[in-house]
Amino acid sequence: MSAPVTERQHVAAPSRSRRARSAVPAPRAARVVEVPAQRTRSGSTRNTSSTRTSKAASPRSAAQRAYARRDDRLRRIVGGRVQKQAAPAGRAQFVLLVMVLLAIGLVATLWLSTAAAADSYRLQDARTATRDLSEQSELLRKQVAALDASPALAQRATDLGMVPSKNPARLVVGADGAVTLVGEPSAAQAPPPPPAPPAPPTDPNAQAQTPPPADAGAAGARTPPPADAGAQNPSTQAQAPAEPPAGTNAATEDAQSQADAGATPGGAG
Amino acid sequence: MPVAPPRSRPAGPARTAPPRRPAPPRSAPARAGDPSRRMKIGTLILVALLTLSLVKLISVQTFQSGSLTASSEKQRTTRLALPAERGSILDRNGTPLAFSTEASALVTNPRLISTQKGAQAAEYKQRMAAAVAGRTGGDPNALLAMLNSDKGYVVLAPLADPGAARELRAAFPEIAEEKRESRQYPGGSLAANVIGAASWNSGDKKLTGLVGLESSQDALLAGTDGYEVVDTAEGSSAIIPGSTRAQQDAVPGSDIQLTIDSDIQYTIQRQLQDYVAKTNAKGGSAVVLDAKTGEVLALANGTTFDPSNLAGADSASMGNAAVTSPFEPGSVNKVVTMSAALEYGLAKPEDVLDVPGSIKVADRTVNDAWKHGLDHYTLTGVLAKSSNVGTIMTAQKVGEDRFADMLAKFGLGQKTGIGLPGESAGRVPPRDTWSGSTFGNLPIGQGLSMTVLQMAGMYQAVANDGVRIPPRIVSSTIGPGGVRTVPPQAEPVRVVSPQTAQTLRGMLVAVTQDAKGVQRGTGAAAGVDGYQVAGKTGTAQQVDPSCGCYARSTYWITFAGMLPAQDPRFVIGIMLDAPSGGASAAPLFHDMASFIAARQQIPVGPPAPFQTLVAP
Repeated sequence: MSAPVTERQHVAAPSRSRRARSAVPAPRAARVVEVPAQRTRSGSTRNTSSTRTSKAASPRSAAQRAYARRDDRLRRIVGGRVQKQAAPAGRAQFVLLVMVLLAIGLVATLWLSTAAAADSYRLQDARTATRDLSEQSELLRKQVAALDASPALAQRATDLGMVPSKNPARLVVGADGAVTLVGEPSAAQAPPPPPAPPAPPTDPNAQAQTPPPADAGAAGARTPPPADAGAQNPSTQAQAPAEPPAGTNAATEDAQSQADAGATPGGAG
Repeated sequence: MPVAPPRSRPAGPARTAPPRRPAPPRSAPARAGDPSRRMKIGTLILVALLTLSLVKLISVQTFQSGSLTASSEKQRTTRLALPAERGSILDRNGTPLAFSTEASALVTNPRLISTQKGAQAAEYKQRMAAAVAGRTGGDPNALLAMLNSDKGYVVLAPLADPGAARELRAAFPEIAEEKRESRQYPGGSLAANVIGAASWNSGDKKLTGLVGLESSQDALLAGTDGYEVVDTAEGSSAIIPGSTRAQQDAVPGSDIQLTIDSDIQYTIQRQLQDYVAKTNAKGGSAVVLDAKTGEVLALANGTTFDPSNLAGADSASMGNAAVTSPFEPGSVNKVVTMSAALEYGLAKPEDVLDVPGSIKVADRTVNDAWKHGLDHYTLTGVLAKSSNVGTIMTAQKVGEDRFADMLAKFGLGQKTGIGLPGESAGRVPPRDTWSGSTFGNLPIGQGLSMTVLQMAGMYQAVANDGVRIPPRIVSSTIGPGGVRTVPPQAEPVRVVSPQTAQTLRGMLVAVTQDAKGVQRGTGAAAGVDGYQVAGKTGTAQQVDPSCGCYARSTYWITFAGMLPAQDPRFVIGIMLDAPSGGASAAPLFHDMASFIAARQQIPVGPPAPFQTLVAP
């Protein structure tokens, strides 16, 4: 940058008259302004020495003097600006404050965006967990409904060897505590093994489709007549006694509970 | 030194320049090198450009603004459907009979797999078929055949669990998922003829009821789909956050609570189906009503189907014959004659009638079911032994008009309004079309038809002290907010006085009287130890379509009764369609009544008093 300056100083003398005649163009003036500023930055010693130089050079040409004067003038202007900048002592603190604020803002922004990213992962995890749980609850609801359905319950009772009783006898407890037997207790008959292989227990829908024929045993003993001529050929409810299957206990308990429920004054008679 | 040349220079040109001098001012605008001129031209160009931009800006921002905004919105805006969950169907205790769960259909493009995988396609498809079969329970061979077909779209599993679908999709990126709703019927065929079935409708992208209540109550069960208008990125389904423009939440379908009790339903259904199978009947129906409220506790048919496997069900088994198929009731209808005779004070139960073996009505002769000479039956005996002749004699005392009136009061020839699809009103010949012999048929339950539900409704009126409450099966509907709505009930109908109903129940108890010899009722097999059972057997000849006459060998066998007779709580109606060789429905009634007595813990009552059926 200093190269053009020295160059110009060398050539200053020959071009002087041309310069003096023509008006200095605005861009040129701007270029000249830069020069002292650069010089000022290079050091204060240069400043004093150049002043000396200008005094020493006073016997030199008028052009040189004029240049020196202009440099002085410009130096005064620029020097004044430097003094102004240094004047307020609070500016450094203000700059520091702004820097601190900017740093805080930067850190906060970083922290917030990191937190947001982390939260988005947590949100994703929570959503996945919610979805899994709702799917699990739906699955469990399905299973509970399947196991709770009447056909499934009946199937499991049958698997345990229980047999529905067709004609349970009832015990009636009278007001005096006496127990009256109503009906003839007989063992419930186990149905013959179902002709079709039982449906897999996991599929209650299929179980309902092929219920085992429960009353096939009682069927043989009966010869039901046409309904309207029943008096002539009374049908009999005779059932061949059979081995008491596992369901008998349940049936008896059922009869007992019936008897309790049926302990009315009328029932006692 | 520099002075001399300037002097000489202007002198030289000065001689030649004067003619030129005026030129520079004139030619100065023409010279491109002149800065001010360049400035002007530049400014003009800039101003022109700026004006153009301004014009375009105004045009875009004001005149085209509407259409441009609309088209940009159209490009971004996506309308997402928010499907409404279909309501459940519950039994009276809240046990679900039908409900919906989320499911996914797994679809893929076999042709694309073949092109992408090249030589490894066969092995890849085999792995895919095995994995899909393992997770969804499908047939691996069928899946492989599907994958090997040259199609652009195959459904590998119509209703896979969402979890399984996700895993399969992760393992095989070629598999895509389509959200569906799966209808669950945990009871299988339990009450299937009432509930019906719903299946996925790929056109509407929702479950649609096909038969039964699922179909007739589809609008209530389906709810209303919602929608959401959002912006999505171009070519993606990712929603731009905060871009929701309109949102209408889905209104889930209402739940329907039925009056059916699934335990009673299961047992009645199983007992009926077993009995139908045992007697080789073509079909059968049974209905259990609450005597006081007319609520249907069970409604079963001889044939049924599995609603979750509609493909395997034949259409005949999907109907609900108990409400859609009327039949001739036979002697069960004698209760109408007896009600009228008692109500109008024309006869008392112990009145003795001299009943011959046959009676001539107009041009026809009606016989009793068994051969006998002149016998002396009480009115109770006429009913208990189901004498056609004695009934017609009584009906003739009642008269045709009062009899027709009583038929109407019992609800015959009218729909019950139960709310099940395809209900039949049955058929009662209009009074003005009656011929002379009509009145010889109707009192004994021939020449008119009714459904099992109507038959049970008649006996419900007798059980409920003469007030007939039209049966209903929908207990309530439960709206989205848990709001319970009870559908409007039909008005109860006073059929006979409470006194008449009570007397009639006493006579009906004699039907199940289990005595020796002639004092035995026709329905003794229906009796339940410890309870008084009031009921009536019925046998009606079916019409032979080949000759249009009554067939000699095929019958509708019926039984309708109530339990316990002193204070009836349950009414059961049974019909068997053409069972083999003289089967009676009374033993089936016994089984059903015995179960209900135990299940509902009905108190044991005193034994029924002996009633004289045949006077000496």
